[in-house]
Amino acid sequence: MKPKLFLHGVTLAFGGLTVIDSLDIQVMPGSRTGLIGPNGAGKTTVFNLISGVYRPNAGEILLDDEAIDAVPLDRRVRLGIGRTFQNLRMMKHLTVLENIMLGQHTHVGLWQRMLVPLNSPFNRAGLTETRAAAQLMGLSAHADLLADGLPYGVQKRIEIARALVTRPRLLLLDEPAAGLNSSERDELLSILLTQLPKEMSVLIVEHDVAFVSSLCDHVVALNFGRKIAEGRAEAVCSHPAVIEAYLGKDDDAADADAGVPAPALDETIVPQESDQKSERAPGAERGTHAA
Amino acid sequence: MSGYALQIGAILCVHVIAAYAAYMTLAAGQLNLGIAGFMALGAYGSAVLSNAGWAMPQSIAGAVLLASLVGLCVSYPVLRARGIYLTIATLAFSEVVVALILNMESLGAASGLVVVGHLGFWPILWVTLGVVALVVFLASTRFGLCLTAIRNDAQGAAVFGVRTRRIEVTAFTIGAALAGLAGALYAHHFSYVEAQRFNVLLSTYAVLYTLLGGLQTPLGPLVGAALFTLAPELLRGTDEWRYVTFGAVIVVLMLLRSEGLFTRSFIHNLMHRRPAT
Repeated sequence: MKPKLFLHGVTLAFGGLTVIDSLDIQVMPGSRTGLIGPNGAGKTTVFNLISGVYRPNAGEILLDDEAIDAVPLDRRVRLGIGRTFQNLRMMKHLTVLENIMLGQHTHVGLWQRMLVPLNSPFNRAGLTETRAAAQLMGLSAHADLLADGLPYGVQKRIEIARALVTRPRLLLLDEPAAGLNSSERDELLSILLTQLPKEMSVLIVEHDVAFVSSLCDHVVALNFGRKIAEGRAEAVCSHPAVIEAYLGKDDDAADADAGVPAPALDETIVPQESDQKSERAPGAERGTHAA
Repeated sequence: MSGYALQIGAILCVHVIAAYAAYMTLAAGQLNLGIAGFMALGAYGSAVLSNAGWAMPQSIAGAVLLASLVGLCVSYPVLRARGIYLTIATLAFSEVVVALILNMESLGAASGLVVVGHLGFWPILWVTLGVVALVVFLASTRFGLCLTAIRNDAQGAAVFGVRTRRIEVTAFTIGAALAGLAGALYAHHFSYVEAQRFNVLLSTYAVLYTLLGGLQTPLGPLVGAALFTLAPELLRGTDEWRYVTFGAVIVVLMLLRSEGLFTRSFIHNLMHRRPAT
């Protein structure tokens, strides 16, 4: 089977700083692939490469076996790539429903785009789709409120609803569960498990190991822009290189065995290790946020 | 209605249209200080056409067309700049237009131009209402949605397939057309145009009306222009203090309502009569 998305030897450097280093990632059609790694590992940068915010310095990105490197940012969504953002990108002067409607932009015809009032019967199909997405993500009660000032968890769900109405064949979710409380998290997990079309390929950046394990059939671990492990979720999370990336190397070396249970991959408990590494990590992180 | 009231009414209408001209680019997140330049194009364009024997509606339409074509041509280079640089570019454009007119003897140079054909208050009012309806309509479509999205987060909008540059160019061009219309109506109402009238202060006021009224709804510029055209007239009784009062009101308003008078949550609260969420 051909991969839906294939990052082939992708390298990205900001000035002299190599943020992504000849990275290979495959997302198979209909798979749920997780992307994990400590802060500054380059996860969001990978998303920005796929969605066209950055162009790779080397290597290529293939979607359905076709290189998409030349496709500009505002036309990638037409290829069926939908995404959410780690640091929310809400339009604060738009209501929840209008924010979601923005995701439909490429599906409506030119005339309809410019000459049909959004609340008129001529836009009924668009409204119905938006309302359905809002309902799916549990947003119906907030539909007509301005997005600005709504709770973080609600804004996260707006992002996902907005990505869904782009009708993606490849969905990129950037830390969908971050900042959610445990019940919101479980709710989101069950929606993602049951409501996404089977044929949709999903790539998820997430720190929550339990979330990743229950959702993803395949996990790729990154550190400093390089792939350090790949495979089934449990195997990757307990991989020594992954544990080292998150928790640092223990000089006592007693717990470096594979028998040690996988640690919670929570960014808050990640210690800074060597000077050289902690210098690189914020640099890469800054690059990703600049988007 | 008295001649005084009709005169104020006509000026108000011109201000409202000029405010909408400023609103179009501001709604897409860019400050256009070239409104006066496009108004000058409209005013002189219509003046020249009617002096050449065109009927008034045609000459006004021709002037609007001229302003929008120039707007379209200017918008491409100007919109390559961003933020304050774009503003300076539009300001420079406006000054160039005025300087050109001042140096053209055929346009009357500094002594101005008498305009054939007078336009009274009522037709100007109907045109203004048409402009308000047009902008309200545009704001209710996906085009309006894109404008707001670009103002809030242009790159975020582009991720969802919005061709931000096209939308910005369109908005800038519509703004130029509206400014041209405002200038043409002005020329025909006063039957006389002079280039010095189209200075930076005129653009500043158009922008001020829009910002004070609020960018979030298409009614903001209308409210802003109405309030700040009529307020100095109502304060006329206080004589020399009126501009002090006027200035103080603007400062207080900006402190209390930095997003403008007419925000979406304000309207929402008016309709639902409950505290903001």
